[in-house]
This record gives sequence, structure tokens and C-alpha cells, in this order.
Amino acid sequence: MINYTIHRLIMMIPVFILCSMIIFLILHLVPGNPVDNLLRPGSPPEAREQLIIEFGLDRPIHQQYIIWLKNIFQGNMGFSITEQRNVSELLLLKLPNTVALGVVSFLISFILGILLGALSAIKQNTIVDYGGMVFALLGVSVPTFWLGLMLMLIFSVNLGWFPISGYGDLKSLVLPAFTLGLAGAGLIARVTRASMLEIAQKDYIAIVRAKGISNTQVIIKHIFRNALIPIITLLGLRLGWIIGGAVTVEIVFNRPGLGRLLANSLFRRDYPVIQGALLLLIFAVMVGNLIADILYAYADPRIRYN
Amino acid sequence: MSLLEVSGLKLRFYSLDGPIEPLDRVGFQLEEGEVLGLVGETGCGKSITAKSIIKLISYSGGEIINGSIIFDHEDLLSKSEKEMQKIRGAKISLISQDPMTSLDPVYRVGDQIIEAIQVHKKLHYKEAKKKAVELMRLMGIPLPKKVFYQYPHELSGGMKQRIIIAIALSCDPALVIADEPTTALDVTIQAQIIDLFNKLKEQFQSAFLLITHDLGVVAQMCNSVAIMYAGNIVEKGSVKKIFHSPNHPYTKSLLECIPKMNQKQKKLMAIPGSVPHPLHFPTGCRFYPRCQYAMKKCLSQHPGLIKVDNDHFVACFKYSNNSNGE
Repeated sequence: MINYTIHRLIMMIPVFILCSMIIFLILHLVPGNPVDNLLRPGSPPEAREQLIIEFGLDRPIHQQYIIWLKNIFQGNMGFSITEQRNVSELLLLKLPNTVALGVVSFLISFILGILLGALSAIKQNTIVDYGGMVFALLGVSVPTFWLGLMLMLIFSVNLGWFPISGYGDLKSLVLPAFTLGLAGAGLIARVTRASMLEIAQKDYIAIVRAKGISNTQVIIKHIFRNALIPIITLLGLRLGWIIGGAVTVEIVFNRPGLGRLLANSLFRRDYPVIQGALLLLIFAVMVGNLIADILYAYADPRIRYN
Repeated sequence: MSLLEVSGLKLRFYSLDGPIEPLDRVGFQLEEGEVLGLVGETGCGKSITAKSIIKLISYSGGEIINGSIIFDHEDLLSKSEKEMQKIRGAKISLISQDPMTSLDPVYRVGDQIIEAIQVHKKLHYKEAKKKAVELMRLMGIPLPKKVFYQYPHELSGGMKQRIIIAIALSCDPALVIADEPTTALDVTIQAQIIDLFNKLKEQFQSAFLLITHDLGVVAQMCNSVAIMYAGNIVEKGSVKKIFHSPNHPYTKSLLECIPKMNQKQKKLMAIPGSVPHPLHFPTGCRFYPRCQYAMKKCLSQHPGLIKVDNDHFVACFKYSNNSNGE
């Protein structure tokens, strides 16, 4: 088990480096230059040249990359071109808001999704199942920004239960968290249902029933337990989303967070900030997958012992 | 009164192409301690008969629409799910076809045996474990104390089948339904499992309903045999009668299909045609399209089981009193 974890951890290093390379290259392929946002209209071309040299943007791209990567491993994520601040400082400032939203919506999507999926599977082909699956389909297919606006319209504008936007307190978290959570819940409900229905048809479930085990026990101890594997896969993917999934919702609800920072920085071509934010995102996805891999091993002895 | 009396069993499944009735008028008896073989081709309805007896068929989407199942003087069809749970595993247990897929992959095999013991006998874990290890030893599992802590994927097919048999016998059931217990195993392991069954049947005094398509296995293990074709029982009787004087054309053909050791045969015998799909069962006798003795009557009328001898019944117009012969 420890070997397995160490193996997974070591595997993260090349993935991380490869991802950083891709981010860096793609970003520099995008047309536009960050210094254009810093110059007043009508500035002389020499001033532009000056700035480009100042930020080191005139060097060959591989040199720029190596300098950046070296700094990253020394804990220095660079300096924002447009905000005149350290990137790490900027990210840390926005991170708590995003994580709060991410964690709450993650919990909503899993608790709701698993309950709904399991219920639909147990009551297959009944009104409960159909209702649950219609809900799940809507959750998956309705765009987040629209859902956000509708929730806002109903619960903030008409009913006045929650603030339209803002951040910091729990009340302002409810609507954005549900907007983000419902989409995830739909997906998780569908996967849970499909997985449980598949397991329910396995030979060993018939054997367990033939032992005289009660239906509740069969469902919890055997069907759900075995159906967990694909759910854990989603869990790993969604853990990464805690940080990266909130772009639209943060914009719709006007919450200062990582997603909005990322979007704004993209418009300004603020390379160091985008790179820093994306690295953080990749790191979150990798940690999510690592956790999923470790959970797999706990859930399935066939993985544990290979 | 027999231990198990199944009569007139009719089963219905609902498919997109309409209702399917894969079983019709299935009936047989099983005495205490008897071993009955239920023989037939793949798809003739053997396994669903097994699942119907312990009323697990509803979990596969089936519904018993007619007939009765009397076990130990009790009518199983009138029992609630809760009452059935007390019978399953304790009085009637099931051994399934494929040992590779019959154990829950996420639990230790020992715990899977214990689960069966604990649910019916209120034993503490320690006592249950002692019993489980004892059972594993009886099944001929080497190093049972070590195997107890292993997961199904660490065991071979033969070992898994032994575990499944241990689970089935853990509560001394009066009846064990073994659904093709040797089909998925290779021949040497098959022989070992058959030996094990023959040993256990004396030790446990349970009755066995052995479902198989292997007449060799029937000859080695059974007292009596019922031949099934397309959801009907076509002939039943003692092993001796069925093997030495088969009456039904289907049984005869089945026996002719077995290659003989003492004869040189160029080509293996085969019954022409194939088993009809349950959606398209012929009216009348279901075997007539493949039967060389088919008469006009066979097309429209269903032959019931007719007594030919004290322990021999056949469902064929050839043997009914009012038939005109071939």
C-alpha cells in the first residue's frame, strides 16, 4: 500500500513538468502581448520595446520557460504584469473563496448525486427512477450560467432569501454552490444508478441473496460497495474541479475567486498569473486523481494487491 | 410427502418483443437425501427453474404466474420476502454456475462464509470463524486458516467452487440446488468436485437438485433424473430407467449423442435443428419440429406426462394409450 502510494507520487512529477510545458507553449502561441495593456494609447514604440525587454519577453521561448520553471521550484511564481503584485500573493488572496465554493458544491453534488442515483437504481422503472433521471439529465445539460441566473431570479430577486452576489458569509455561498453542485449531482446520479444496476445483475449478488441476506444488507454491503469504483473515478475528477470548475459561476455571481482571476488574466494576457493559476489547477487535478487512486486501492482488493 | 414438490410451474418475463414464458408445466419431486438431476440443453430453462424455487426470479425480472412449490410441507409461493430470507441459505441453498463470478470480489472468502453462518445462526464472529474454517477443511481446501483471509481473485476456480460449496452447506440445508456446478471447471477439477459432492452428500444428508447438461455427471451422482426441453419436462425417472430404457425421442437422441468408447464412430451424432427461442415455442409438443416420430396430433396438442412405470414418466403421444402409434 505504501509502495503503491509512493509510486503514484513519483509518477506525478513528470506529469507536472509536461503539463507546465504545454501551458507555457500554448499561452505564448496566443496572439497578443501583455505589455500592450500597460501602455497608454499613443505611446512611442520605444517604450513598448523597453517594457518587453524589462519583462524578459524578448528572450527565446525555451529560455523563458526554463527561467520560469526554475523559479517555480524555488517557490517564486513570478510577478503579475498588470496587477503589480506577486502571483503567489494574488493566488492566495483568491484561493479561499474558490475553495469554499468548491468544497460546498462538491459535497452537494456527491451527497445529492449518490442518494438520487442509489434511489433510482433501487426503484428502477418506477416514478421515483424516472423523476430522478429527468432531474439528472437536466442537471447535466442545463448550462451553469443559465441555472445560476434562474436561481438568482427566483431566490434572490423574487423571494429575497439570498443575496444576489457577494462573498464572505454562508448565505452568499448557497446559490453559487447549488448552481455548481446540481450539475455535478446529475452526472454522479447517472453513474451511481448505472453502476448499481450493473452490479445487481452479477452472479455473486444472486449468491448473496441465496444466503438469505436481507435486501437492505444486499444493497448496502454488496451492491453499493461494489458500485463504488466508477463513483470514485468521478470523485477524483471532481476534486480537481473544486479549484477549476467555478469560472462561470464566479462571474455570474460576481465572486472574487480563482476562476474569475484566471478569466480576467487571460483577457489581459497576463502570462505569469495565467500560468500560476493553471499550475495550481493542474496540481489540484493531480492531487484529486492521487486521492482517487488511493481510494480505489481501499475499495477494491484486486487493485490493492497488484 | 416429498421434501420438494414442484408442479405446474409457469414463468413469465416481459421483454420488448412481448411476454416470454420460458417455463411451462414444470413439475418434479425430490425426496429427502435424494439427488435429482435436471438435464437439458443450454437455454431450456434449467437455471431459471432453480432460481424460481428459492424465489429469486423476481430479481431477474421474472414472475411466477402459475404452479406451486411445496417445500417441507410449506407453500413457498405464498411466503413473503422476509419469510423466504429465513429459508434461503438455511434450508435451501444455491451453488451457481461460474465460480469465477460467484464470490463478491471485495470481501475475504472467509467472511463470505461467515456471512451465511451468522445470518441464520446467531453465532459470535469467533465461533462462526471456527465453523467456517472447519467447513473449508471439509471441502478439501489446503491451509484453510490462510485461505480464510484471502480474496476471491487470489484463488483458482476449483478453490472458489469449494468456497461456494462451503457457503451453500454452512447451515446444513435440507436442499442444495447446484446450478451446473462443474460446467466452468476443467475436467480434472470437475472430477475432484464430483468426488467432493459424492462425499458431502453422505456427510450432510442434504437433498441435491443438480442442474447440468452433462449426462456423465448425472450418471455419477444422481438417483433420478428429469429431462427438460424448451421449458417443459419431457421425461423423468430413475437414472437406471432413463439411461437404459429411454422413451422420449429427445432423451433417446441425447443419449445417442454420447460417443461410445467401444465403437468406432466417424462422426458424432447430433440432433438436427436447434432449441426454439421462448418467443417462438411451437404449439403442441415443443419438440415436434425436431422429432422423427412426429404425428399430426403433436402439432396442436400438448402431451402431458404419462406414467410408463412406477418410477418413469414421459411426455410423448407415442406412449399414450389412445395414440395410434407412429
